[in-house]
Amino acid sequence: MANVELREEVSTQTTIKLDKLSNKTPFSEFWRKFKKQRLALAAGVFVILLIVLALFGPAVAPYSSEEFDYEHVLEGPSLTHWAGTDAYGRDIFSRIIEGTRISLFVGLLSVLLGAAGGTVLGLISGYYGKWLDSIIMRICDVLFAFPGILLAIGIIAILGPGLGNVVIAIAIFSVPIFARIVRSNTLALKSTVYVEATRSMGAKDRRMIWKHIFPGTASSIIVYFTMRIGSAILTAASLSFLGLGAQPPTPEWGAMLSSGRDYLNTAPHVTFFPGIAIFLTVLAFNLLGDGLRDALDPKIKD
Amino acid sequence: MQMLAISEHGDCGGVKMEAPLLEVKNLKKYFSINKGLLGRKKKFVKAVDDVSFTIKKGETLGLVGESGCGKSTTGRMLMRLLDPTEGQIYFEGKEISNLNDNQIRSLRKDFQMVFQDPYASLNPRMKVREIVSEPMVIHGIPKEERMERVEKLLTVVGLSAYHADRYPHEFSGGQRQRIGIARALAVNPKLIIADEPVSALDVSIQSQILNLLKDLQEEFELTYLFIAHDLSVVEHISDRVGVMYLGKIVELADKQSLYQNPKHPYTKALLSAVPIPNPRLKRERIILKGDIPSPSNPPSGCTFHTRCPLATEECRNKIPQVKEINPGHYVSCHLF
Amino acid sequence: MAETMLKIEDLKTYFYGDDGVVKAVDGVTITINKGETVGVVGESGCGKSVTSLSVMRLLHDTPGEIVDGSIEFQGKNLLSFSEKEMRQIRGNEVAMIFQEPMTSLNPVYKIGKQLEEAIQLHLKYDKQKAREHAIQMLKLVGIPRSDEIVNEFPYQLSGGMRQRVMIAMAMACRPKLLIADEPTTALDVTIQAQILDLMRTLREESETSIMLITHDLGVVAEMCDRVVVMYAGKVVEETDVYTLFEDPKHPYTRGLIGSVPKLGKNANRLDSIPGNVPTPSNMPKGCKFAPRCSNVLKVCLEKEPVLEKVEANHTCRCWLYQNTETVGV
Repeated sequence: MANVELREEVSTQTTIKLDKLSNKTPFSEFWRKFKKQRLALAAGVFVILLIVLALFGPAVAPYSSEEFDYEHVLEGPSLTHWAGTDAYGRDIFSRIIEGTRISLFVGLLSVLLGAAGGTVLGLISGYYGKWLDSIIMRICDVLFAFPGILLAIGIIAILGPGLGNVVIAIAIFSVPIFARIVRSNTLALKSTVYVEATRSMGAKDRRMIWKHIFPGTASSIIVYFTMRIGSAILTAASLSFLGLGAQPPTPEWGAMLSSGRDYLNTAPHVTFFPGIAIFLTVLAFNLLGDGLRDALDPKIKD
Repeated sequence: MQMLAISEHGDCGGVKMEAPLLEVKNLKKYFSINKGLLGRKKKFVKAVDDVSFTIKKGETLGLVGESGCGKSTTGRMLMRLLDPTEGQIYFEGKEISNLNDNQIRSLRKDFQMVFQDPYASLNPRMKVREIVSEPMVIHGIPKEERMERVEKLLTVVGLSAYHADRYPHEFSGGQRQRIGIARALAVNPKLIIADEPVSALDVSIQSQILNLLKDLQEEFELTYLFIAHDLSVVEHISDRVGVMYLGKIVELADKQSLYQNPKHPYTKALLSAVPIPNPRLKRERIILKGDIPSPSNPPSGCTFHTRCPLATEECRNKIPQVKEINPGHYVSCHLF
Repeated sequence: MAETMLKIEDLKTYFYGDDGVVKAVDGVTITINKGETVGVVGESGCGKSVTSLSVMRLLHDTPGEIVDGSIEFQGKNLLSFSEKEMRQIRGNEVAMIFQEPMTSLNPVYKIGKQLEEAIQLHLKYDKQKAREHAIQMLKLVGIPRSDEIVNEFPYQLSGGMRQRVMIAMAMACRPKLLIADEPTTALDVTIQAQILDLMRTLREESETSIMLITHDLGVVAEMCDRVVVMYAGKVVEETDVYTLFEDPKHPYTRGLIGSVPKLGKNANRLDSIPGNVPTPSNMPKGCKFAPRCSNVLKVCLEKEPVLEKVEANHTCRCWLYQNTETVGV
């Protein structure tokens, strides 16, 4: 009799222990690992700041980006103009803040389109295999054979210059990158026992792809997504610098760099500050991506 | 074959003339390897080579054998996770080996599988509730019913309803296997194919799962195909046992005859090789020479002749036929 | 009294991880005499493999550390040895066989080269003699065409063959102590029978002491003289193999023996131990086995019992058998 009571006592003891474990959701697990990486955390804060600037930029900027002021042309950094002024006397700091919206928008949208296309192609290619896989992967190989920027220039040469076409160009050359990553993930996941188990239940392909395989590829998509934004911003800036993207007077960072290059010797700040903005933004996205990879990669997990 | 009557519930007493729940005839699975660029000179791995057996409703058929003997491939063909190269599978008298993917999908409700590795067979990104209810979603059971049933199923397999909102990684191996079993039971299957369901578990957990499988069989009138390499486990759970070697069933009999009175030299050697937890027991051991030959290049004649202590010239040249030496006791060996 | 080969005393090996300290081995004492085979039995996570790695001092790739205790091999304390001295002992006087033979053989070197290297290093043979010895060892472990096999790579061999190569390698330098960690678990039954047979023959010929780590009670019954049962990092019972199977004392040992389906015995149900093996983060207070024990007493939940002599040559860690004097303390 006493023994029965004891058993109960013991079992409640273990139940309580189990409950303590239960708040380990995948997200809290991710956060536990992510917050350990100081650098990535700092990069994340910087990215959030950029997003805030992109949303509320014009409201925060001290001057209007289009306000000409011929009294103060090519002035160096001062208390009134933190980053100096350009050839038309426009406040460079304000222009950079406004440019954040453009750069981030271009980066985000182009990679989003590229990732969406690449993911679908990668899933199809990896899941169905055979000739579909061969065709998709050979097309990707062809796209890979071009250096990214050259491909983008080529696409713009066909579509014509302009920010919208820059987005399309970057999206196109992002597709094969995502297609490859997702395909290799899909191949690995397709052979897992739990996918086989789902198949044995009679699930349709659609269910297996979206319910079981896609969530498994999500973490690498997120990682590459973040890193690609950095390089997309860089590519967009380069294209604008070459005059193929944003056209003056748009306060795009690349275009700002381009317009400042004539004054490199007399007024280096005109190119320096937009350059720093590009550099920090790209770096932040890359560091964030690295940090996400360390926290999300199942291979590093335990 | 089609003429065999299907009796839905054959437990009406009297003469036992039940049609088997599952019948497998001359099942073969050859995997082609070494395709080569020119597509010539194809080599095959004969993973399963002419296997036939039946499973009656409510019984457990054990399939034992060493690695590479084709037992898992057989299980996967029955699940139609693999398409047979040749041969027929009949379920309740109806041929299912020629159905296409769409036709087989609704039939999968009657077949469920329990996998070996409880760590790999559950999607780590899904909660237990989603895992267990997945077969019900696939087979269109309404949501309210699903929620209710998940909790009931969890209690049936010895877990608690509150476990439904946890992720698989929070459970131990034995508990995960219980989740896997709950999932298999979700759509009231008739046949459960258990592929090494306890071999990844610790001894003390193994016995819990074996007991659970036995209890569930009684409660839900389940039929099992139990695939394992451990002869003692198979003996414990099965009614009849088939021994496989290199893609063939070499001996098939009810449990008592097979374990007390094995006929095939391979079965004998296999049984004598099992270490028995009794230090006083000193047995005459048959230690087989050499390794299991590769299924891509199986020996001629009887595939066992390279290791058989009793092999003769005939064994080297002629493939033995399956013979029924006693009622229900089938052996494939030239000695009989 | 037989000569003592290995004496592990109060060994504590802890792992330091994210979630705090894991006491993988927590005060383990095992003695192995010359020519004796001692089985170390337990389920996953009981600390049996960590014990063997501690003896070999092979923990540096893990977050584990030997915190306390002593390991004496032929009277010398291995824990005081430098890494260089340990290298002399490993593979020479103490050899180890692992569960997975593929990962323990270097895939880029030929079998013969790997064997010869060990022989040259430890036995100081010249190249020619080392090769002859290698081939002879391979013959001894029953490898056909051993003079050809020396020129093959590990991947060209089957699992059973590789395990034999591992044994040949382990035995090549005539070790005084062989530590075998689940040597047959990855193998098929018929191959397992061959390997166990081989180990028995080698033991008889060279009087090697063997520490056999396994979860398989059948293997224990066939191979061992004495058995140590471990649970949650601690020894819970130790006795000779006959007593262990005929008169097990600890409820865990009894449960374990009852859980194994026995060939030829037609029990309808197996005895089973309820619950799960405790995880490090879930370690019960008091006796570690108490939550799963069918004979649990009040005291079991509060205080951990000590390993005590219950009969001559039989010790057990359980409150059911503790002396009243000790209980009173």
